[in-house]
Amino acid sequence: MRRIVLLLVASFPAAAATVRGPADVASLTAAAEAVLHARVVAQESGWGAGGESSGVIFTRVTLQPVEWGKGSGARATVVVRVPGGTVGELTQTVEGVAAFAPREEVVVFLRKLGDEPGAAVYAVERLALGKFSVGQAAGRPARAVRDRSHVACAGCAAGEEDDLLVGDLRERVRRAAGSAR
Amino acid sequence: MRLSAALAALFVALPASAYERARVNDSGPLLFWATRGHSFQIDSRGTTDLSAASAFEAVRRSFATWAAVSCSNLTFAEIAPAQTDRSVGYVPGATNRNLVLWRAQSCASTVPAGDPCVTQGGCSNKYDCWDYGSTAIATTTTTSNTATGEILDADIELNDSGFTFTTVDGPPCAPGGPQVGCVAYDVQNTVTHEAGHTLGLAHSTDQTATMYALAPIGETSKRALHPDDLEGICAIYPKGGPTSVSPGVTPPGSAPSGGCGTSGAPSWEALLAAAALVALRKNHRASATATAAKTTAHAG
Repeated sequence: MRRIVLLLVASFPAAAATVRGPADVASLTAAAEAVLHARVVAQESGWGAGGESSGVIFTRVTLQPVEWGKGSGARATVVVRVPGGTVGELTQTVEGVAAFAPREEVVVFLRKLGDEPGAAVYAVERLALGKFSVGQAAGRPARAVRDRSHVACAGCAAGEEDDLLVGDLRERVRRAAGSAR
Repeated sequence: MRLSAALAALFVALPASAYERARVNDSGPLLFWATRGHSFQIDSRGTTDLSAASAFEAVRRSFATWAAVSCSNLTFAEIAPAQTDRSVGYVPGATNRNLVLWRAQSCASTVPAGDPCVTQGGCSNKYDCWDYGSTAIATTTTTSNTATGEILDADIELNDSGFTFTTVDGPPCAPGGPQVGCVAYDVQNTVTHEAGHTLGLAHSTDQTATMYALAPIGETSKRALHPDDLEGICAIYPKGGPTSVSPGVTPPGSAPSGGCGTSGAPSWEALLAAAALVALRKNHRASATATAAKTTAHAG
């Protein structure tokens, strides 16, 4: 039976991969099968199918949807498969993948990988460029912020915004999803 | 007096260092190799875009560029190209090689629906496919000791299913245009950057650095290292000094003393600047807090 170990750390990626842009909200929305505003409710890392002999560690991030910006799901939770993670004394880092923290609120652009009992399984589109973290300072409107520091981008435009009001991001997704239909 | 005035002017004129070191889980121990450099093996299937000779020489030049840094003493022993098992990652107790390989097909178009690998861990090893989406060009998978940050394995994968790799010197290919006789995604440019990650460097905020995050089509400037890259690599693996590790981690044994030189492929001005900044930063770090982003524990 595949061994799953609870991930105790806040996040895992450390370095960077190279991704082809653009990665503005409209482009991401068009490329994604689902855009989801959600909260992280669980994370656990384990060896891939086949156990240690697979050589790969991955992390299952369970999201509780707040709102679907594109696509929809009847299920109460969505699972995002993220390459890398920590199992005991070994940590595997795959450059550039999106990092999630416990209880983090996020807006993620997702492509569907498949289904498993009780949940649809997704990956983040364009690695870390497909994830915004939602935060709110006291008395201020909520903002969605993206961390590009771990992803090299070829073809991203200089003006691509990484810090948006959540309402603005939601509206941009809605417009892009509408025009894509 | 005149020398100190010149050095002072040098420090004033130089920008602050921008390199970053990779850590376990982003905030854990700093990553490092216990050895100075690491072996690598190119999978002999190479890329469909180029002859094996051309592509493999570009990969070798990438590692040779890091090995040529004279204020460090890295070596990269090559295991002869062969048809490997094409499995990235790390299997405890097994022979693990630091592979460089191109994935010729995407997992999205290869893997049967319902295969457990889709939801459990990924399918790149099982189906020999690119599993990071159609827009990702290359990535490095590093396995390290969680408690110490010692790197145990590092594999570089390049996406041959969606990108054209080239080795010519120029001109840059026009975006969206034909990618023949011009630079599309330069192998040496890409692998030199990725090799920096295999050594424990993260992205730099210095836009001139090889470890800077942006890599436009047609770029070849990352084939060479720049002052910020030199400072970063020599801070981790200084010639004549112990490998820089996190506080509380025992540094691995270091090679015989040699001091920072100024020869090799990079310009002497760049190396002098890097050496001066490394020395300055070492002094600065002695009083810095243990949790500062680039603070490292030196045995000496």
